[in-house]
Amino acid sequence: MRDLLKFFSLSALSIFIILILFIVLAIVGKVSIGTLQEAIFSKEIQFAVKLSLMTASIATLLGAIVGVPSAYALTRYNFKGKELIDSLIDLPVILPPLISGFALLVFFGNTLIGRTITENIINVIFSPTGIIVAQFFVATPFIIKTSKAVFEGIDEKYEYVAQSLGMTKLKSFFKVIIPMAKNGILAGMILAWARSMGEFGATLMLAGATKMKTETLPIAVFLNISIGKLELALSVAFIFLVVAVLTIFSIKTIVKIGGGDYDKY
Amino acid sequence: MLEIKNLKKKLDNFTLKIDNLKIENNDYFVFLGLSGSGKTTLLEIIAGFRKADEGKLILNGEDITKKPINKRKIVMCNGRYLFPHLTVKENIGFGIKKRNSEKIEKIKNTCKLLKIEHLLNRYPKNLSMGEQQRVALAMALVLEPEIILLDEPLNSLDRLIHERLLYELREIYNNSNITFIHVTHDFNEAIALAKHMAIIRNGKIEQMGTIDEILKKPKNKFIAEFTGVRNLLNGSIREENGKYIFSNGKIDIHMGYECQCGRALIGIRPEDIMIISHCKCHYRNENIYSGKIVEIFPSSLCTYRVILNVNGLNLNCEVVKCKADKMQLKKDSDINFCITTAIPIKEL
Repeated sequence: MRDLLKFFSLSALSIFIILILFIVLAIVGKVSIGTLQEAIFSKEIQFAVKLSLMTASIATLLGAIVGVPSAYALTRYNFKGKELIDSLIDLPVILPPLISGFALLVFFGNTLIGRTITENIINVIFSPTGIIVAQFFVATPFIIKTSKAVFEGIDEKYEYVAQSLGMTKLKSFFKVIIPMAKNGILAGMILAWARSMGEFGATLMLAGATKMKTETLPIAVFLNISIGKLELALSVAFIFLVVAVLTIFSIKTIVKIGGGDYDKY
Repeated sequence: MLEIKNLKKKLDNFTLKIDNLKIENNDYFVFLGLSGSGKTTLLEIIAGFRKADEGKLILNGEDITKKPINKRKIVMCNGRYLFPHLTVKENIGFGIKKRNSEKIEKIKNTCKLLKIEHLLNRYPKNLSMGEQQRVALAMALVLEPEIILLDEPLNSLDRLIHERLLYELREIYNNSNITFIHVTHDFNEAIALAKHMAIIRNGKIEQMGTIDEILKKPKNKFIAEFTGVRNLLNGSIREENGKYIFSNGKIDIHMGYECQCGRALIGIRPEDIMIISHCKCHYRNENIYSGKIVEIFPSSLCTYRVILNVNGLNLNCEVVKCKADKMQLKKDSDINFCITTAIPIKEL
């Protein structure tokens, strides 16, 4: 064997890809055209697809609005407790989603601030808003982590040079740092979006599993399994797979086209 | 005029300390020093990229120590920091706040001056190092700032581009009213460009002045060596009939000007030792010696480094190639040479 490293790395890759393909095939192989048609034209599933796409996209956008500046602050500024905050950000990733959802439920249902928000501003518990909050909570760390890694890779001097050419700090952030970090931020957003689409545990605890109300695609799979409609559940899983793959593929293509020539610097 | 007063900046194991420095308007000021001497830190403090721990920066009477970077009218020019997501045209127009037509006109004129019109639609990653430096210079020039800061602009350029850009930089400076502050470790670069220069070592200015002042009166051994003195001789100076003569037991050198008598360190530049033909009487120099060539090797495209030995003392000498060829200089041959200038470095 001349190139052992090549052999081992390609073998590892092959094992994992085979595993993914087996799982995909397990779903695809069990889906009959009839049940798939039934699922596609079912109002319940159409609602679940729409709700999933909408909540995941809103949660991702909110995650980016909060996550990107947070990542910038963690990269560029020094403040007390920075290390601790950096570790806290990982908490939603480490915690089992069920516990995250339960904690959110306790916060919005049993604390003064949470109750004030739920009663006077927006109802979070057992509502579609709850889905967005749950997804936002578990997905934002992905945006913060990837954006932070990208910001760390961009020399601070780019900002200084931009300011030296007359830009304010804010303008140099939007005109230089964001475009330079664009691909990394988008990668983080894709991860967050995928995490939101697949979010189940936290959503179940905070928003509940109410048919045609808080029924996202994973909840739809769960509801159908719980009432014994296994074939329909598999069809929903298949639809989920197609929607997720198509969306991620489209985003990657758009980024590639939008990135133009410079992104290979 | 830019004034730096009692500036202090502490970094890990290093402190930059500039007591008092004045850079006149429209000067070409070069900070010269080895890597890690603090010259880039100083430049970044002037630009506002770093904050000084103590001291003041005053530009034309106004205290700019705490002024934000974008309000200083000081532009940092560095080809390594072109914005990679913007084309050359967008990079150059980045800081211009004028109307579109005026902006285009300005970009056009500056590009013409720097001969980069053909690069306007390219991205920085498709530019050579020399082109990147030119674009950075254009970005600064279009804004007509008070001061342009250049951080090793000619570093890592190949020889040909280096020379061309050096010449262009001088042309641009001569045709503008901008003050240039340039940081480099290359003494030849400093000689070619600077009106004034300061030599920095370990965060402190060792010597400051015009090129002539520094070349003729290096303050210490470090500056002498850094500015090209290759022959350092320890000895003493005595006065004889109004003439000042240096002696170290192996060689006597007439200094040619008034010196302080006593122990002394003197320096001789390689180019101040001239190998002469065999007939001594053609030269009215008192410092004529006979010696032997110990070593001879090319030191550049057009010069030879010759190591001469006189009474057991080795001296470095630079000879133009065509002259060396004409005189058929070779190892172990006996020659005559004269020392045209010897500079006192310090009295011991």
